[in-house]
Amino acid sequence: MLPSCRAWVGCFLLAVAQATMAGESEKNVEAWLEQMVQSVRTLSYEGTFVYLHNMQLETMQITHTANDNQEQERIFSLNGAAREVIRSPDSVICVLPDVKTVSVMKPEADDRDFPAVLPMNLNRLSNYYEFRMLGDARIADREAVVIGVIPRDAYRYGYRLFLDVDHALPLKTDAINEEGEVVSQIMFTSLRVDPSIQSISSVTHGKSDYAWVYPKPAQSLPTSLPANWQFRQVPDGFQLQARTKQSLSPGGQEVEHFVFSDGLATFSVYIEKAGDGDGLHEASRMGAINAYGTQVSGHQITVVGEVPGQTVRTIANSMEYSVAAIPK
Amino acid sequence: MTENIREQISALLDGELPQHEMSQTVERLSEQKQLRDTWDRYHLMSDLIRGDAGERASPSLADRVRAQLEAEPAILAAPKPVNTTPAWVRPLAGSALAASVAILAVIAAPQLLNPEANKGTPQVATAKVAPQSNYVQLAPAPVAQNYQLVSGTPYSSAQYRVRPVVVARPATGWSTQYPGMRWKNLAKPATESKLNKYLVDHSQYATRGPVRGVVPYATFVGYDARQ
Repeated sequence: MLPSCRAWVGCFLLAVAQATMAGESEKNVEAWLEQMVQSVRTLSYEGTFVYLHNMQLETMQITHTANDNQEQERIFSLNGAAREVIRSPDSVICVLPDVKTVSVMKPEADDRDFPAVLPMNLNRLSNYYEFRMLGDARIADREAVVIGVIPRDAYRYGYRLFLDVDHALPLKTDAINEEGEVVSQIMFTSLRVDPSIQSISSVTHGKSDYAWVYPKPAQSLPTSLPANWQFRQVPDGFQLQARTKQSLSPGGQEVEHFVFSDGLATFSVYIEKAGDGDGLHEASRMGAINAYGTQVSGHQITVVGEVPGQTVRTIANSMEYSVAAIPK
Repeated sequence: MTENIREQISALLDGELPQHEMSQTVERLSEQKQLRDTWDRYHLMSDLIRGDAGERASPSLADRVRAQLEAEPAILAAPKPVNTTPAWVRPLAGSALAASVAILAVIAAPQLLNPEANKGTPQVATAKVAPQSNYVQLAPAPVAQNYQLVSGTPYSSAQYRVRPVVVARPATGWSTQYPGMRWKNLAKPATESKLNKYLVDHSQYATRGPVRGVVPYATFVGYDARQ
């Protein structure tokens, strides 16, 4: 057999093998992702992860407990100021040693549905993302499968997930922009899954000289309530998930808040009366989080979220003030 | 070690490596012992130089590193062709990253990894390279003189003096302060503060998504509050 002939046969066999595997791996992608969503919320684990974005590297520690179906999570910075965030069903506590402040946010009674996880609706998501098995890897001394979540347009990031083969916990998560560049990476350097991990009992120790602040909870509004704002251009798949009215600082002015999600990516639109001149008037970015601000009809509009810069800009520039229209 | 990867390490230290090459370089670092040793050596230098010299005027570490790289006996290997297809959709194998590498990077040289961190933080002193010359004649670094190469060749001061190195930009400050995350292009602290409030508020909703459970809070936890 001529070498070229043999190569062709080889290619053909490879193609057949891949076609066969594609059927299996498609099913697997779904199962992996579903298991991941479950594991992240229902297992008890602790570990150290690094968060890399732009040229910056942060190291943080996470403790997640799920005892008696009560979820609690603590994220603690190992660099710089020893900040921490503790999330539990009834509060989000931020400890800020650099400014000697503890902030305790309590959700409203009717909003106390933590973990209000958006279900992983793969059917819906597949309109905007393609899911693909990318292979195997080893992260934090664990075997991992690699899954690509590839966006179908440039209005959302893609993700490369490295899931632990035992629990499907994401050992590494890369967010990838429309140029194919990695905009942020989260990677565990160590991870221990253990049902006996104890939840954090108290954060008050040694913080007697801290200022304790209790921001007023946001008032949830039904998403169907007519609003004075129209979003003329919302990228495909992003739907209004939540709406609130609140004031973000004591005595501060009221801020309207709209949350949009495509089931994976989320961005928020904040609207307040323009006046203090402190609003954002351009694009800004921190890691994979983009923000864009502009003024429309005497209001300051700020869009922020973990989506590409053009998404927040498109939304902000498409806002239109009108009297009591129903938001899309 | 190819010329290419050594250039990439140098660029990584210098904060000049494009995003897509960055993770690749870090991954390669984690995979190859020789590369790791190189990385460790550069960082050890960085530590010692910093401990020794503090915030004195100094050519950037990367320039020293570059000089060192040039002096290092190269093991010849043909550079790999650049692959133009988006690399991230291709299957990956063995892309582990050793914790030591990552942690070392944080401990040793956060400032180098984030050259922009000094912007807007005027309290951080910036070391200036003498403006009258585009060239800096490198003196032998005190720590490097007897330092062994992986291949076993000790550095000599002669090698150090071999060629002048172009200083591409002024060296940034050798601050020991840890630069946290900052919003880009924001001049006004009040704007930043407002944006932070929005972000923290947004995080409560974003963390309910199925995939990105940690990022918004991680961003907040790592945020640099120094104004």
